[in-house]
Amino acid sequence: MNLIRLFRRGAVVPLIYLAVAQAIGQLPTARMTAIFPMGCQIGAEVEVQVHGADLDGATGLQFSHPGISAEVTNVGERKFKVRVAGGVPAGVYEARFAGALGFTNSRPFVVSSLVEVLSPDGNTTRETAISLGVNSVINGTAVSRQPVWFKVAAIKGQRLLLRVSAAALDSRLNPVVLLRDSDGERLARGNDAGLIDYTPAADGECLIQIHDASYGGGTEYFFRLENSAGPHVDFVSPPVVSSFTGSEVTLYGRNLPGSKPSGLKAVDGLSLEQLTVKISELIHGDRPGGVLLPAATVVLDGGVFRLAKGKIASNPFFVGLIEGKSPAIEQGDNETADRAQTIPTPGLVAGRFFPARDVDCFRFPIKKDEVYWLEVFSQRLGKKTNPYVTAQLIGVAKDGKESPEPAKEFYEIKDNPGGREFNIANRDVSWRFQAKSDGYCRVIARDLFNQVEDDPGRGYVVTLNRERPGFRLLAHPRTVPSALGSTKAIELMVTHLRKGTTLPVQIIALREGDFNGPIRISIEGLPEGVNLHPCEIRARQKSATAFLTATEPAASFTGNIRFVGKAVIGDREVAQVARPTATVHRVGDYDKEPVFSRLAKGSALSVNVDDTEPIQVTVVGDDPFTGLINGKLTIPLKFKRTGEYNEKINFKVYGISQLQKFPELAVNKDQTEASLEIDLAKFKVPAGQHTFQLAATIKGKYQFPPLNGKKTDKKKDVTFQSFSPPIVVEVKPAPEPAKKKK
Amino acid sequence: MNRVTLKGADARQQLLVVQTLGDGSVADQTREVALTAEPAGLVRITDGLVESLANGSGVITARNPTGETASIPFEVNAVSSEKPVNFHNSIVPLFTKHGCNSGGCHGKASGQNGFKLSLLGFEPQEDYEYLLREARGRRMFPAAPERSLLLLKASGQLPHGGGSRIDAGSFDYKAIVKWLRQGMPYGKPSDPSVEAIEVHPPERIMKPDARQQLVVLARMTDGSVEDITHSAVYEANNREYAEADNTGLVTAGGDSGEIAVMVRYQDKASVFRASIPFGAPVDNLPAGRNFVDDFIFAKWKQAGMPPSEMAGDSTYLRRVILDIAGRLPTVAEVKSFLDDPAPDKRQRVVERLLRSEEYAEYFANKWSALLRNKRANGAQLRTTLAFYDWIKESLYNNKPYDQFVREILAASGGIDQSPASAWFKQVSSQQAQMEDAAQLFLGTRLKCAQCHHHPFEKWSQNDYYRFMAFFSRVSKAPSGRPGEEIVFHRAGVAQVTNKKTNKPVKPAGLGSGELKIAPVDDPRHRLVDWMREDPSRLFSKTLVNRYWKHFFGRGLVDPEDDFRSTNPPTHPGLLDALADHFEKTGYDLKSLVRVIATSTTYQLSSVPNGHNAKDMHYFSRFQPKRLTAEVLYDSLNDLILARSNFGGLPVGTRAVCLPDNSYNSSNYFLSVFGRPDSSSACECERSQEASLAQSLHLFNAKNIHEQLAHKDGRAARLAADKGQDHAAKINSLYYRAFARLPRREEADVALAYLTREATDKEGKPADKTKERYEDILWALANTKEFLFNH
Repeated sequence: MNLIRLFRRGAVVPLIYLAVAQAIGQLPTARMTAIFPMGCQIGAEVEVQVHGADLDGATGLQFSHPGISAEVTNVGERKFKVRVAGGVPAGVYEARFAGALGFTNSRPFVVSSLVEVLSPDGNTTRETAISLGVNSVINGTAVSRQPVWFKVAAIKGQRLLLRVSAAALDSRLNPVVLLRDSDGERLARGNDAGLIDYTPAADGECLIQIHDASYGGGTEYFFRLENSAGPHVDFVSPPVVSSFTGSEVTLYGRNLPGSKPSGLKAVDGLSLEQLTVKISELIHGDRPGGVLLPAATVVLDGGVFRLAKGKIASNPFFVGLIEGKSPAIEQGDNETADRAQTIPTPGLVAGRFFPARDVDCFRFPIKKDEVYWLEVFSQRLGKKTNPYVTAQLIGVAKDGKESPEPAKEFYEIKDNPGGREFNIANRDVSWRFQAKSDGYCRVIARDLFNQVEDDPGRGYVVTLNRERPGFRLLAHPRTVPSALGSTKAIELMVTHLRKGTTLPVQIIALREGDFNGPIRISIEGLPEGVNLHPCEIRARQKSATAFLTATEPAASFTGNIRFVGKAVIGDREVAQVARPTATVHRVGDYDKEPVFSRLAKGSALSVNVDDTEPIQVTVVGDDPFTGLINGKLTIPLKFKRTGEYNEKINFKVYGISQLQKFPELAVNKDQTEASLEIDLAKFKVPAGQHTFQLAATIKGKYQFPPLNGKKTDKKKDVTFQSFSPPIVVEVKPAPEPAKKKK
Repeated sequence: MNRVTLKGADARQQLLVVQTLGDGSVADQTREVALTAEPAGLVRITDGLVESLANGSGVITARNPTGETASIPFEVNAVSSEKPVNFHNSIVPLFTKHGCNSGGCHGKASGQNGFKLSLLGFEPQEDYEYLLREARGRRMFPAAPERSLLLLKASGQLPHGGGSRIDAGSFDYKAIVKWLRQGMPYGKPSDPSVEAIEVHPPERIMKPDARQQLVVLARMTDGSVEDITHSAVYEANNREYAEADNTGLVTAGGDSGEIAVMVRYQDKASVFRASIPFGAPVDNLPAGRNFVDDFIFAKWKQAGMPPSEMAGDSTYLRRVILDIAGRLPTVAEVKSFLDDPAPDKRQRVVERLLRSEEYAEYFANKWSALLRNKRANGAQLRTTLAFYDWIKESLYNNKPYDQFVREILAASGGIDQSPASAWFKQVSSQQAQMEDAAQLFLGTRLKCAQCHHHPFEKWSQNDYYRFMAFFSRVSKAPSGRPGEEIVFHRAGVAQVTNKKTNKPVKPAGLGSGELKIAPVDDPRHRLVDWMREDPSRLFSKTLVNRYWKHFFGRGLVDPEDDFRSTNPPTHPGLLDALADHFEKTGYDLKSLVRVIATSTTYQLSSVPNGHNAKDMHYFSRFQPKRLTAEVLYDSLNDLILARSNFGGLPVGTRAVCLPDNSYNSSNYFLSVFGRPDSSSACECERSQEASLAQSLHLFNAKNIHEQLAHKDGRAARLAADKGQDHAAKINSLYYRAFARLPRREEADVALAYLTREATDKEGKPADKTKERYEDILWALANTKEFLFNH
C-alpha cells in the first residue's frame, strides 16, 4: 500500500480547485442531492434513480456495506438496480454515485425488513392517496405548495405507529404529518420526531397528509413513511454508557416488547413504556445511522442502536460512549444545594431536565491542585435543551469548614474550530479548572429551554474528569467551488482528482485537555500516483489544510482513504483517525441559510486518469523558496494548458496578507513560462515560513472525459476559479553587519 | 351625611336633594327645589352649594314645587380664622379644573409659551418649584396678588392664548389670591393629603333628559372629609348619552343607554354610572339558556329594553359558522340544519365547529395579528409559519389559556424549541414587551404612565417600571440559524431604573407589592403567576371580554383592552360571572365560546323591534358586523368558486389561514378591507370602517370580474349543469350566500333575468346563461346581507 509520498518539486503541479469563500465557478464535478427511493428491503432489489448535478457517465453506486450492490440500468437517467443481500443488518448506510466526473457526496440508504413501496407521483389529493400496509414503508417526495396523501387501514383498537423520516436522511423536508379519517377530519398530528401514535376507535381507513412546514417540495424533499408494528424508542436512559458490551440502558417508547408502564408521558400526551435491556442485545450500527444529531456530537464516541421486535427493528437512536465508570443516575429530590447528589470523581451522572423548570444539584469531590474538566452533554446528545449550569468550588478544611469561591455560570460553548462548514459551537457546558484545595465542586443544572413543557426526554450527562490530554480529528473536504456569481455558497463536497489535480481537505483538531502540540497528518489507502503534500497542524493551531495531488495516477480509482494524525503526548505517540464529515445540503448564501453538516461513513476519493486538469502551473525548483527580508525573491513558473482555454490569465497571489496588493501576473495564451518577482522589502513580508497560492479566474470550454469508456464530444462553457498548488517561501532576517576589527 | 358642617371662611358643601318616588325609584331634585337657610346670613346657597358666611347653626330646608319639604341642620364655625393654603391640595387642582395643565396647553412636555406645568398636576413639587423659581417667580406678586401675571392672564385681564380660564372674583380666583397673599406656601409635610375620592351617588337610574347632581368627597389621610365637588374634573365617556358640567351636574340625553362620568381630582379618579332606561315593557322573554342570559335579561328588565325576536335557523347557522369558523355554511350544511328537527341542533352545531380545524384557524388568525406575527422579508417565513402553526395547534388542542400565555411570555429557546419565542422577535424591547403584555392580557393601556401618572387610571410611573421589570432579564442570542435568535432568561437581579426617580425598582404586578425573585428564577413566570392570582382578575376578564366582543361586536368593556375604573363594564355582574366560569373550567377557551354561542342572547335576531334600534349597551338584538377582510375574501371565493393563490402557500389557502401580515401588500382586497398589519397588540388595528374604495373594488375590480367569468367558476358550472333547472340553481346560490331560500320576489327576479331572450351583437339569438349567472353572483355578493354577519 502506498503511504504518503512527499510532494515533489519539479513534477507537474497542477492548479487546485479550492472552494474558498471567494470561489466563483467550478469545473463539472459530480454531486448527488437525492437517491430515490432511498431504501430497500433486506434480501430484495429495487431500481433507484440518482438526482444531482454533473452525473455524467454513471458507472456505479457504492455503498458503505459490501452486501449492498448496484448495477447501472440506464446511464442517461442515472438509474441503478440495487440489491441488498440477505445478511445485511437493518440500518442506515451510505450511498455514493460514481461516474466520469467523480465520486459524489453520500446520501443515506436505508435497509430494513419492511416491505418497500414506491410512491408514484400524483398523490396530491385525498382521492389519489397511496395505500400503505402494515410493516411497510413508502418512499415519497413532498410537492411544493401541496400535500401528498397516503392511506392505511384502521382496525379498531389496533395501534397505528406511523413514522416519517426526513432530515435524518439528509432531506430538506420539515414534515407536517396529519392523520385524518376518511371524511378528512383530523385524528392526530405527528410529533417532532415525525411519529403518529394513534389507536383507531373504529374500523375503516385513515388518510395521512404530509407537507413541508414551509410548503417546499421537489427531489430534495424526500421522506420515508413507515407503518410499523415494530417498536418505537422515544429516548434512552442513560444516554451515555461506559461500554457497549456490559452496560444496560432503559428504553422509553411505545410498543416495546416485554415492557412495563413507565408512569411517564411523552409531549404528545401518550403514556410511555419502559424496557431495560443490555446494550449488547440491541442492533448496533455506525453513525450517523439515520439519527439526526448536531455537528457538535462529534466530540463524543457512541453508536446508533435499534431495538428489534421479531423481524422489525425500531427507529435508530444514539447512545454515547464515555469510557470509565458507568454513569450514576440522577436521584430525584436533588433540587436544592443542601440535597445535592454526590457523584464520585472522576465520574458522570445522567439526569433529566424534567419536569418543566427542573433544577438538579450535584457535588463532585475534588482534590487540591488537580486539573479537572466539568462538562455537560445535552444538546450534543441531540436534545432540544440549553443547559445552564452554575458551578461553585468549595474548599473543605480538615475541620470541615467550607470556603466557597464565587459561583460561576455557564451558558454555551462558543469554540468552533470547524468553521462555517462544520459548526460545532453548541449550548452545552465545558469548564476547565484547577482545584485550589480539597473540597467539592457543586453543580446546579437547569435547562433554559425547559420552562413550560414537561418532557421526560430532555436528558443530559454531567461529567467531572481529571484533565487528560488528547485530540480528535475531523476531515472535511473543500473541493467543490461555488457556482458562478455566488460568493457565499457552500457546496456539497467531494474529493475528485483529475490527472494533475490538487485538492485541499481541511483537517480539524479538537484538542482535549491541555494538549497543544503539533499533529502530523498522513493518509492511508492512497492509490498509486496520488500524493499528500506535507501537512501538520502546528502547535496550538486548530486546523490545517492537507493537499492531495494526482501527480501521475496509475489508474482511475474510487474508494475510501483515511487521514491519520499522530502526535506525541507525554512520552508516547498517539494516533487518531480523522472522522470524515460532510455538508448535507448546498447553501446558496450562508448569511441567509443554515449550514447542516454531519459525520460521514468514509473519506471518499475518486481519481479519473482520463480527465486532465485544464491549467497546470509548475514551480521550477525546490521549495521553500528563500529570500532575505530586505531583498527580493524570484520564483520561476511553467504553465501548460490542456483544452480550449485560450484567454489571457491573470494570477493573483493568495494567502499572504502583505501581498494582497501584489500586481497580477499576466500569462498569455501561448506563454509557457514566467517568473514571479516578489520584492519582500517593499511589501514588508515578515520573517518566517509562508505559504501562498496563485489564484485566477479561468474561462474556456471544458471537454468531458470519456463516458463509460467511450469518447465524447460533449463540451461545456465554464468559468471557474482555480488555485495553484501551495508555494512555500521562507523569508530570512537580514544578516547582522559584520563587526569591524579594531 | 346628615348634617352640614362648614369650618372656615372658604368652606363649602354641595347638597344632594333626593326624592323617593312611589315606585321606589329615586330622582335627584337638587336643582329643582328651593333651598333656604334659617337663620339667614350664616350661609349662602346656590344650586345646592352651601357656602359659609358667618359662624352659627341653623337648618336648611328644601321645598319642591309641589310643596314637599326636607331639611338638614347646619353649623358654621371658624369663619374668621384663615387656614394656611396647601399648594398640592388647594391650588394644583384648580390648574387642572381650569385646563391650565392639560396636555394641550401648559401641561405638555414642552409647556406653552414658556410656561410649563406638570401634566394634570401629577408633579406638584415640580410645579411649585417652577412657579417660584422660573424667571425669578415673575408670575407672582404676593404684595398685590391680583396684579400677579398668573391671575391677570388666567382671568383674561391680559392677553392670554388660552383665553379667560378663571373668572376674576370667583371662588377659585380668590383661592389663588389667598395663596399668593399668604406668601405661596407649599404646605407642611404633616398636612393631610387626599387618600381617595368618592362620588355620590356612585350610580343611578336616570330618566331621559333628567339631571343628577354629584357630590364628590375627598377622604384625607387624617380622617377628615372635604367636599371637592366644585374642584373636581368631570368627563362623560359618551357625550351622546350624557353631559357633565364643571359643578358636577350630569344631564342625561334623550336616548336610553349606559353612561359613565369620570371624576378626577389630583391623581385620583372615580366614576359615576347611570342607566337611562328605555322604559318599555319587557314581557314574554325567551327562555334563557345559561348564566349569560340571566344577567342580560335582568338588565333588560332594569332598563326597560325589550329584546328582538329569536333569530331563525338560517340566520343563526350563518352567523355562528362565520363567528366560530370564519366561513359561510356550505349548501349541504344549510340543508341538513334546516331539515333537522332536533331541539338541540344549535348546540350540536357549536360543538361540531369547536372540534373543527376551522375554529382553530380562524381564532389563530385573530391571535396571530395580536401577537404581532409579522414578516418583513422572506428569511422570516420559517419563523412566522412556525409561530402561526403553534398558535393554531394550541387553539385546536384547547390548551388552557393561562398555559398559552405562559408559553408566550416565558418563551425560552428558538423557533425549533419554542415557536412562541417569535413574539420576542417583533416585540423586542422591554418596554414593548411590557406594554403589549399589559394591553393584551390585562386589558390595560400603560403607555401614558411611562412619563407621568396615568391620566385616567391609578397607575403611576413606578407601577409602569415595576411592571417592566418582569422583562428585565430577557436575553437573546443567535440561534445558529441566520436571522434567528434564541430567547432565554439570563440569571441576575430583575430590576429596571425608574427614569423619573433614577432609582431601581423590582418586579411588581399592577397594584401589588414588589416580588422577591431569586436571580436564577425567571421573573416572567412570576408575572404569569401573578396574572392568575391578581384579585382584580383582569387576566380573565380581559379575555372573556375580548371574546364577548368577537361575537357581539362590542365588549362589556369597550374598547376591549382599556379596562379602568373610569371605563366601567356595562354588565359588571356578567363580566364577573364569565370570568368565574373561565377560571373554574381551567381557562378553557372552547368552553367560553360554547357558553356565549349557545346563549339565548347570542341567538337574537338583528332586526330591531320598535324600541331597540339604537341599543348599544343592552345586547337586546344582534348587532350586524361587516365581515372581516379575510372572511369576506374567502366568502366571495366560496360564492363564485374562485381559488386563492397566495405566494408560497398551497393554491386555495383561505385568507383566514394566512400565517402573517406579509400578504397584505400583494392583495389589494385584504388591505382595502382593513386586514391589520400585525403592528399592534390592539384589535383596533383592524379597520372595519366602510369606505368608497371598498365599494368600488367590489363593484369593479378586474380580478373579481375575471374570476366571475372563469371557465371553472360557479357561473360557468351553473350554466353547464343540465341536471338542475334554474330555480334549483337559484336556491343553491341563496343557500350558499345567505343560508336561506330566496323569497318569492327574489326568485322571480332571478328567473326572469335568466330566462329572457338574449341576442348577440348582430341580433341573433345567443346563449348568455353563463354571463347572467355571473351578473346574479355579482349582485348577490354586493348585497349588505352578504357583506354582513347579521
